[in-house]
Amino acid sequence: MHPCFTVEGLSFTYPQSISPALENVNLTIEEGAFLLLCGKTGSGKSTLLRMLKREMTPHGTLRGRRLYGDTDIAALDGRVSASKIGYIMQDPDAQLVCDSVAREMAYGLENLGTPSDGIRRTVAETASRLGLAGIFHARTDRLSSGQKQLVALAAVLAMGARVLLLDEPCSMLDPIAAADFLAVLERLHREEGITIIMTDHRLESVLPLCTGAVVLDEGKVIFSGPAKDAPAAIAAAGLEAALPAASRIFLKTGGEGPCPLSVGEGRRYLSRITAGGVLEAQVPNPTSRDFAKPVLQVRDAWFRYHKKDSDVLRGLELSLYSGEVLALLGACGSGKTTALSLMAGLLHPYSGSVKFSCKKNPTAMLPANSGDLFLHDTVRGDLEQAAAHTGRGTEAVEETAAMLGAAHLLKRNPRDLSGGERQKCALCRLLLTDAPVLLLDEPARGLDAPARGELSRILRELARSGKAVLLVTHDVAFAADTADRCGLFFDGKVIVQEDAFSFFTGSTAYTTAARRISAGITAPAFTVDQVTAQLCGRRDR
Amino acid sequence: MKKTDTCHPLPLLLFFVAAVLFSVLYMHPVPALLSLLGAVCFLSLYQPIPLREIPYLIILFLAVSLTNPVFTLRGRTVLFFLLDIPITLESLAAGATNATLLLAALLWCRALFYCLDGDRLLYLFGKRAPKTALILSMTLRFIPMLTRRLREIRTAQQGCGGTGAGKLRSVALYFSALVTCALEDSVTAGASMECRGGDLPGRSFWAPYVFTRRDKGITAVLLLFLAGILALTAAGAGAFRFYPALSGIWDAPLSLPFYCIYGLFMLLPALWEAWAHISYARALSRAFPAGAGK
Repeated sequence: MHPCFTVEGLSFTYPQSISPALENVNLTIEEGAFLLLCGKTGSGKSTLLRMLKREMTPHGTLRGRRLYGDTDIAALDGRVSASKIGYIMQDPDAQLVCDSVAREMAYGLENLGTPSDGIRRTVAETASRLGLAGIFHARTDRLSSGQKQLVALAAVLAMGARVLLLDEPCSMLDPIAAADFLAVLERLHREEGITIIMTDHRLESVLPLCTGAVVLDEGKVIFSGPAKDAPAAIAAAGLEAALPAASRIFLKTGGEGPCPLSVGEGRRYLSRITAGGVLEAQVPNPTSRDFAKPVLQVRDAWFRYHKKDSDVLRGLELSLYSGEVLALLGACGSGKTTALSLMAGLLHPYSGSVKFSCKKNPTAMLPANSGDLFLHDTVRGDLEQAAAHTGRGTEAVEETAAMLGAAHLLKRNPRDLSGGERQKCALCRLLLTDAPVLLLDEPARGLDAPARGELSRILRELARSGKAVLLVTHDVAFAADTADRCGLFFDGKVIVQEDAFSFFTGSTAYTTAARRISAGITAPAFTVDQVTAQLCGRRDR
Repeated sequence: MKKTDTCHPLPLLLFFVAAVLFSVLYMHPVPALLSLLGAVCFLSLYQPIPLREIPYLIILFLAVSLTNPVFTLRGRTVLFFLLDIPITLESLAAGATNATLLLAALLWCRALFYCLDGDRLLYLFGKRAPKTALILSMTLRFIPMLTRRLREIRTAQQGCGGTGAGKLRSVALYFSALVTCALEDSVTAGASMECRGGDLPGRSFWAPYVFTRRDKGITAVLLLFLAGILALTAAGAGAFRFYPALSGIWDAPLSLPFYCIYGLFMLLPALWEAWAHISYARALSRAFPAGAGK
C-alpha cells in the first residue's frame, strides 16, 4: 500500500514554551487506515493531528519532515490540501459557516470554483450518501449537535476528501449521536476506503472500530501498531480508565494473547478464564442514608412548554435525600433537562408540586454548558461575586476552591480552562450559593478519563459532606462510577428508581459495558473493579 | 410545500416588485381595491395573517383614511363640519383610497419576504457579489445563534441564584460574555473556512434554483401583463381625479380592459396557488378513489 502520510523525525515547539509538544515523531500512515491518536490531555495528540493539515499547523518551531504522499505538507497546493484532506473540529457549532445545510455543503465547492451544475450534483450525492436528505433545507442552527457534526463531515466529503482528520469529533455529542457518527465513519472507511485519523476520549466505542492506534505520552510516540495491541500501552500512558471495559478486565486479570476490545470479545475472554463456574453473589451494603425526610420532593408534576404543545413531563415523581448522589439516565429528548430546570425553579409545573425541606435558595444548577456560569475575566471575579451575593468574602472563595482542588485556577481566565478544570470551577460557583441541592446537567460531557474520575470523586465527597446531588446524564459509565441511586427517565417520568447495584445489575441492556460483559458469567457486578475482584478472589482460592 | 415555493426566484421578484410599485403608483380606488383583494387572497392561501394582527391593520386603515379629510380642505361636496373644519366627500374618498393602497403595498411586501427568504434573495444578488452573499449567509446564521446563546447564559445564571450583580451590571456582563463568545466562535469558524479553501482565488456561487421552461413561461406571462398594463396606462386608462370633484370610475378611456387586466394580474398568485391546491386534491382523489382499498 502507498503511504498516505509519512512523518520523519518531527519535533515541534510552541512559541514561548521550553519543552517540545512533539519530539522526534516517526510515523507512516497507510492509505485506508482507521487510526486513533490517544494520550492524556497535553500529550501532543491534537498537535500531531494539526501537523497533518497545512491550514491548521500552529505557529512554532518545526523540525523534521511531514509528507502527504510525496509532497511536503507545507508546500502542498492550496486546492489539493483543501479538497483532499478534510478536518473536523470538536465544536459542532462554531465550525459551521453558513445558515442552511445546503449552503454549508456547497461552501467548500464554491471555494474550489466548481460550476453550479457540478455543485448541485455533488451536494445531492453527498447528502444521500450520509442520509442528510431529510434535513437538506434545514437551517443549521436548528440542528442537534449530532446532526451538525454530520453536516460538517458532509461539507468536507463533498469537496472530495480522501483523508479525514477528526479532533475529538464526538466529545460534545450524546452517546447515541456519537455512535451514529462513528458508524458513518466506519462505513466511509470500509466502503470507500477513506483514510481516517482521529483523536477521542471514548475508547470504549472507538477502539474496536480502529485498525491502528498511536499512543503519545509527553510528545513522544510510545506505541504505534494494530489497535488490538494498544491497550497495554494506553494503560502505561496513564489512561487505563479510558479503555474499553473488556480491555480493562483483560489487563487487570493479566490476560495473555490478543486483547479483547468489544463487549462480545470480552464475554468470550471472560467465559474462557472462568471456565463456566459462576461465583455466589456478593451484594455490597447500600450506603446508609437518612431516608427520614427528603430534601427535595417532586409530586405528580406535569409540564409543557406551550399551551398547545404536548406534555414533556407526565406525572414526575422524585425524592432526593441529603448525602446521596442520584443519577437520572435516559435518552435524548426524554425530558431530563426539563425536569432539572423544574427543580431549579427555572420552570414551573402546571400541575403537581416541587417541594424543598428548606426555604431559602434550595438549589444550584450546573448547566450543560458550564462555561455560561462565568462572565468575568477571571474565575475569581465570578466566584467573589457569587460569594458576595450570599454575604461572604474572599475567604469563602479560597476555602471552597481549596476544597475542590481548584485554588490554582482562580486567577485564570475561565475561557482558557480545560473541560475538567472548568467543571471544578463551576462546582465552586454552585457551592458558593450555599444551596443544599446540587442539580447537574451532563457534568461529564467532553471530559477525558482522568477528569471524569476526578469529577466522580468530588461529587461523591460532596454528597458525603451532606449535599444532595442530582445529575442527569446519558453516560451510563459515569453514573455507575458516581451514583448511589439511579433512575431511568422515560416518557416524561422516572420509571425505576433504585440503588445503583440493583439498577445496573437488574438490566442487561441499559447498563454498563462491564455488566454486559459479565452478565451470566460472573456474579452480578456492574463495574470493572467488581468483576475483577471476583476473578482475583477465585484465583486465590 | 406551496406552489409558489417551487417557482424560480426571478419571476417571483418580478411579480412582487411590480405588485408593490403598482399598488403605490395607481392612486385610483378600483386598482387599489383589486390590489388589496389580490394580496389578501394570496396571503390567506399561502400563509394566513395571524388573527391578532387584524385589529392593528384595521386601525391603520381607519387612521390613514380619517386623517386625510382633517388636513385636506379641498373638495367640493361638504358633508359636515368637524370643529369648523369642512369634511368633504372627495377628501374622505382620497383618504380611503390612500389607506387601501398602503395596506395593499404592506401586504405585498409581507408576501415578498415570505416567498423570497434569505436563500432566494442571496441567489438573486449572489451571482454579482459572491463575497457579499457569503457574508449575508454567515450573518443569517449568526443572529439566531447569538440570541440562543444569550438565553442560555441568562438561564445558566438564574439557575445559580443570578449574577449577584445589579440589573444594569448584569446586562453589561451578559453582553461582554456574548461578545467574547462570538469572537471565539469566529476564530474557530475562520479556521474551519481556511481548512475548506476559504482563501482560494476564483470562488464560484452555487445557484440551487433551476430556471425551467415553466419559469420561462411564467416570466413571459408576467411580462405580457406588465406590458398590457403599461400600454393601457399610456393610453390614458387608470387615471382618476379626486379634486375638486370625484371623477367617475368609467370616465377614463379603456377602463374595462384596464380593470380586467390589472385585477387578473394582482390575482395571479392567488389563482395559481388555488389552482394547484384543487388540482392536487383532485389528483389525489383520482389516485385513491373513495371507498377503494377498504
